[in-house]
Amino acid sequence: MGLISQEFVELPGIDKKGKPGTILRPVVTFSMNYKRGRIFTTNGLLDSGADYNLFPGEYCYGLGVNIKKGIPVEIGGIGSRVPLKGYRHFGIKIFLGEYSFETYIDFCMEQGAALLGREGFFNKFKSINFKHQKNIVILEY
Amino acid sequence: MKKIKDIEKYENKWVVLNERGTEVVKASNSFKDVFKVLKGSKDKRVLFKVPSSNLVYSP
Repeated sequence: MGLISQEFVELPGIDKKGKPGTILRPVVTFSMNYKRGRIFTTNGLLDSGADYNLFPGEYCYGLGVNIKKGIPVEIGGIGSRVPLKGYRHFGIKIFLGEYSFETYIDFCMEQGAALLGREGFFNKFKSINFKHQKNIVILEY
Repeated sequence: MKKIKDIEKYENKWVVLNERGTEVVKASNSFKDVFKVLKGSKDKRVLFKVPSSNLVYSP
């Protein structure tokens, strides 16, 4: 068992008054690689409303993955009435401090932020606790 | 709370942060451009796309 604590990150977004500004988001920093390939570090938004992990298609270049060789999946959400085309890839390893696990990720060229979803991320932890008053998230594994 | 200096200037761009994660050291519209800045597997600098300041995220 272990605990990982990460601070919320201030990023561009619409503020409380509806104006362009910055907003605190529960973003987790982690490293990733595919099949013993190059490791690189990025961050992702913890999104309990996302069924699966959804990452920008550009990450495939960094991982050495041919995006179109993945399993085609249709991706929908409030932002797009027409489902977007994504490709699911398995065998991607994620490293958070001392903890690591293998998972699968949907990659989509129209996606901007890396979203960490319930299946493939949240379910790899015993608990994920958002402490909004302290602006931290604690992940228990 | 983690703050990144002047992050609002880089909306919609791919960026690489310094080792402390407090400043942008490289920004580009191209993922490949910023990925080149990383030096091998031991480089722990964070690479990501900065979100737009005109959007609200919702699933």
